[in-house]
Amino acid sequence: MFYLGAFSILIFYLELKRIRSTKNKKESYIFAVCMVVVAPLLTLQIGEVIDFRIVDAYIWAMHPISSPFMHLFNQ
Amino acid sequence: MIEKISVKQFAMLAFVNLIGTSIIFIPTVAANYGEQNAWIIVLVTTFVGIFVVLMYTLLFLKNKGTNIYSLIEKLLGKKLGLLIILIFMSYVFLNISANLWTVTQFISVQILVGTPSTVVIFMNISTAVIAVRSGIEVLTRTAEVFFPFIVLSLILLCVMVLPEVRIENVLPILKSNKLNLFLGGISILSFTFLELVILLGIMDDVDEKEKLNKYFLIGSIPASLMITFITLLCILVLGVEPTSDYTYPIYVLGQKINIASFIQRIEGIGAFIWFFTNFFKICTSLYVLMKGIKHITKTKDDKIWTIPISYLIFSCAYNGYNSTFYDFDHTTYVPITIIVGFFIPLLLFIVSFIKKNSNTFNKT
Repeated sequence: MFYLGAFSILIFYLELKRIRSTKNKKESYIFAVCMVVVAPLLTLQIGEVIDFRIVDAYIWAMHPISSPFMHLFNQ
Repeated sequence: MIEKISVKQFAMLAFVNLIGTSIIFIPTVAANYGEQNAWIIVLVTTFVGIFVVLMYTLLFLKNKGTNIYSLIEKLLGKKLGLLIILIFMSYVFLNISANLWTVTQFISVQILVGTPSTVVIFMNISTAVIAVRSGIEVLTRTAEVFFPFIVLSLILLCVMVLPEVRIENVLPILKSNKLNLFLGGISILSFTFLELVILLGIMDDVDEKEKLNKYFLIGSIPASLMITFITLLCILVLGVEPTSDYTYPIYVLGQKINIASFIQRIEGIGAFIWFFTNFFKICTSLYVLMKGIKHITKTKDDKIWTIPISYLIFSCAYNGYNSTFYDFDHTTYVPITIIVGFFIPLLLFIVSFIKKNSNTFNKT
């Protein structure tokens, strides 16, 4: 968790520096916002502080479509 | 800078995309459904797959080589187009994370026992991110370098295991439940040819688009025939029950190699084939996903998305499939692949056909 957190901060700094060098302010903001949301989520997940499962949400969302197939395959 | 790849490079990408993952799981899936006739299901799927590939290339060529995302938006309108694009992208995202999860599980269980899965995922995804950020040209050139080794390893594996073949394992031929064969065919088709829908995302990067039809088939048919042959070898060497029970039958197939008690235990060949083909599959999918995000958000630089998205993929591959993978495979992945790989291209094909006909009718 510690190493991933440190790595995230380093990557964040380097990538932001690269984007800002292209003088594209909008894209550097987008990147910053994305990283601020995503990096702590993953770091806390690896540290088993929180548990969020995108795949489970996807399976739940796809249930109306997948249930007829489930019946077919369970025959 | 506009990056272009040749049709030969595209054929190689089609080959590695079809081999990646399928070569590990298809023998098990096929043996579960078709028992000793598993190889026949895979062979029949190859013939059906030709039509799928033709549908993809025709859809692309009939629409003047438009990018898949622009094509969806052009044919279905902004709102419905956006919904379909999101479904397509979610499929690509899941494909990447599922592939990453399988390769991580394999390394953690079979090769580097005790190594934390996070390290393996990190190594894999960071390499893929570097490859994608370098561009499609660099990616395909790398595939070109490794392609001969992949083919050579496949041939070596097939030839060296031949002395262990027992013909009685494959008998009786054609005596299986027809419904099972049909369901097995659908599953296999979705794990092989229907996954090639992702390549629609890189077709606009190909030079000499008019030759795409031929080279797509040149890339995909040998790969599918190779999977058929590997499935046949698994049945012939291991038998039906072990093939359907083992998670990685190709790895066990490599363990069976024994030539004059001198060349033994070279199962690493199977792992080598899988790692490299899977890596290129992950990279291609990630590249297509980045293109989609760039299209939706209208950003100039798609590189800004690679790192945040790779974090999400990391998260999915880390614990997303631990308890659900086999359930996910048969209940969610197959249906969503059929929808994204067959029904959406078919819908686009029909809509483009209707639009073209109505245009010509209006002109006359």
